[in-house]
Amino acid sequence: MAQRILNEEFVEKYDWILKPYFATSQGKLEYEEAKSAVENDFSKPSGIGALLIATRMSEEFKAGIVNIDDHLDSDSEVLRTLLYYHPDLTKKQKDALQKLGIIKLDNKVAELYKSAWNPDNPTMVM
Amino acid sequence: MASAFEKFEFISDPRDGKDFDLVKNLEAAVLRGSDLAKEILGGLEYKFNNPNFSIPHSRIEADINGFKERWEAIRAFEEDGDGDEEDIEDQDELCVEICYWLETLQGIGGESFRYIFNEYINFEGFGAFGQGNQLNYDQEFWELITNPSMPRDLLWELSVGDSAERVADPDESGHIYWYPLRDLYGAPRYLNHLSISPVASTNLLSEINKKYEGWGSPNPFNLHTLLNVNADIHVLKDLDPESVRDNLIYEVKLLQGDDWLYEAEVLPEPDWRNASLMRNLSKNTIGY
Repeated sequence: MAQRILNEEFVEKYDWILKPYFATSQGKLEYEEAKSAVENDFSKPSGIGALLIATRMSEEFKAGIVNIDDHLDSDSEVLRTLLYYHPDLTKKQKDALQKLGIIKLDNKVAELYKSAWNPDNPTMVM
Repeated sequence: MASAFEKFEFISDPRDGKDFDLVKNLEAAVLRGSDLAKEILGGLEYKFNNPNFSIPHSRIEADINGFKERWEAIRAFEEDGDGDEEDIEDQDELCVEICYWLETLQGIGGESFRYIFNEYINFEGFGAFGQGNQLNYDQEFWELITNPSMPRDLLWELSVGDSAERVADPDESGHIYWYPLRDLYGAPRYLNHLSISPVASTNLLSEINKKYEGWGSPNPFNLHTLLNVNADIHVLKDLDPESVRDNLIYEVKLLQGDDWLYEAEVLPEPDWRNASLMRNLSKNTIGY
């Protein structure tokens, strides 16, 4: 039973999200800071961390394990942001989420949150 | 396939949840696309279809006693000056043998799991593993910890109970690297493997992340938990984006290997600004 987790396999699980994220202006800033930091003292928002969590969360909805309606008043800003970019949400629902607070994103990163709902994305689960 | 799993002796723990059934959970995980769950079920099926694969507890006891005697000979020479140097075996070679032995224990039962960890935690002299001589196996135990046959109460105890800290490497410097500053804060390193393994129930994942959350930043297990098939929406909500980001960078740097991995108090600080890591990351992983 060779369950050893190879780093290459591990990175494959999120590589398809990293590439487009680090090509955005927000991602480039985060990337540059990671390159020059001497320890974990980032000043930029953790955009990639939130995007990875949101993308993984979307799998729970797409698998039918949880319902969107049950989480529209979530206390998680990441989850509210993910739901805000669901393609079928009504304006009223979006306004409610915005009122509760969502992460401020530039347009290109917002597109990545929208694409998290794509049913054909590869799974992130190991 | 189902008939093979009927033989599975599942030693449950209420903390996993009232209706938690490991095999059913793994089967559901396979449907969700978990390759690890598929691999674990395949291993179980092989075990049940090959009775000779099971290792009797008497053999485990004999092996451990053999290791104890060999470490005692080393201890007696080093501390008491007993014996002839030419007759003392090489410690590194003995360690390699023990590590290999640990990798071959897939067929053991509940009694043997308890025996091995008890021998590891409660020992005299150099112990059976050389742990009394500052050798640590908290990384090497990962295959036992993620074995589906591990009794669940023992799994909980070794993950979030007092025994977890007793198994962890007491020498913290062994866990601290220059960048990103990532310390397991007294947690055994096998928890990295457990956090990603489908044998960890949703409740256990939640407790692992809660227990080690306040010990420092980043939380070392957030990224692995993210990729665990059993991480439900509530577990995912509690993950810290900064910890996920910092652990991501750690893993990517680990992938790059070579010149960046320096233990804090052992090797001189490298020049991170010129380190090749991010260039490599750009070239190989991010692709721009």
